Amino acid sequence: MDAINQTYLFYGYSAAWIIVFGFILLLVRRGQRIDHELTRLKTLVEDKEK
Amino acid sequence: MREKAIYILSILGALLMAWNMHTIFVVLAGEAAQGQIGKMLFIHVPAAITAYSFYAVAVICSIAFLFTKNFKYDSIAVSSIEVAQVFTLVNLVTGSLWGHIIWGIWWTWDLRLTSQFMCFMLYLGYLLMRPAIAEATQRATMSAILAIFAAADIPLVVMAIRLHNVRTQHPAPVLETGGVDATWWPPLLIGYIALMLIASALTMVRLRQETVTREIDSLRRELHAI
Repeated sequence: MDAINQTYLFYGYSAAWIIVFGFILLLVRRGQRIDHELTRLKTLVEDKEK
Repeated sequence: MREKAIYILSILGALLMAWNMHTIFVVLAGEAAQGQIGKMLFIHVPAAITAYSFYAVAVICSIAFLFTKNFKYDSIAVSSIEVAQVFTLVNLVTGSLWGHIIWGIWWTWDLRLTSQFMCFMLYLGYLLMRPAIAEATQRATMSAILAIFAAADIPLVVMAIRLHNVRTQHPAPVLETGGVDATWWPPLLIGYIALMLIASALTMVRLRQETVTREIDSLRRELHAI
């Protein structure tokens, strides 16, 4: 019984960290996307103003 | 300055969490009645309290937005809610795994579990609604109203195991009734502090993204006007 308990405890903590790291990955990807978009728009505005 | 704070909060949170995981898995013995699975409490409860703390921040900022119309409050609210959703999901998943062992079922529609699931769904609705409204002031106002109304569910979650006339599968509030061994309090509190530090760092990263998104919107308008 305790072996099953230990396994499910491990699943629980693993799931928790997968959720948190998944969110971090999502944040990193979103950050890269919006930084890229910001640079692109700044260049476009500068070009149009010239 | 903000980047530095994010690094400090993340490193402190990660170190505290690593030390706490060592205590939970290596030092502490299993719970007398439940065995090892009882240790799920150390992530399940701090995750819930962290989520509620950030929902509270979101509600305060939503009220502040309705009064001031300052978009800074809207940004803090959406960032806090997104991070709180992550920890609500952690709470739901770890609770379900614990229930599978102790109750023999993954899920039951009792008041505590249902109201917590409702809380998750209501704020998920908040996050899904935002991109559907194009105009910034309207989006922020609608979001603030929804954030405040959704928070009405949180007292229900808290009270679900305290009401005398409600039968619930969920255990009684062990933290208040002396059901937790004295040796379990430090890792429980450290777990909460560690999750709060990690959640604060994540919120700050998300907040920076929200600020950049607003800058992108203003650049798009400027580009349109040229």
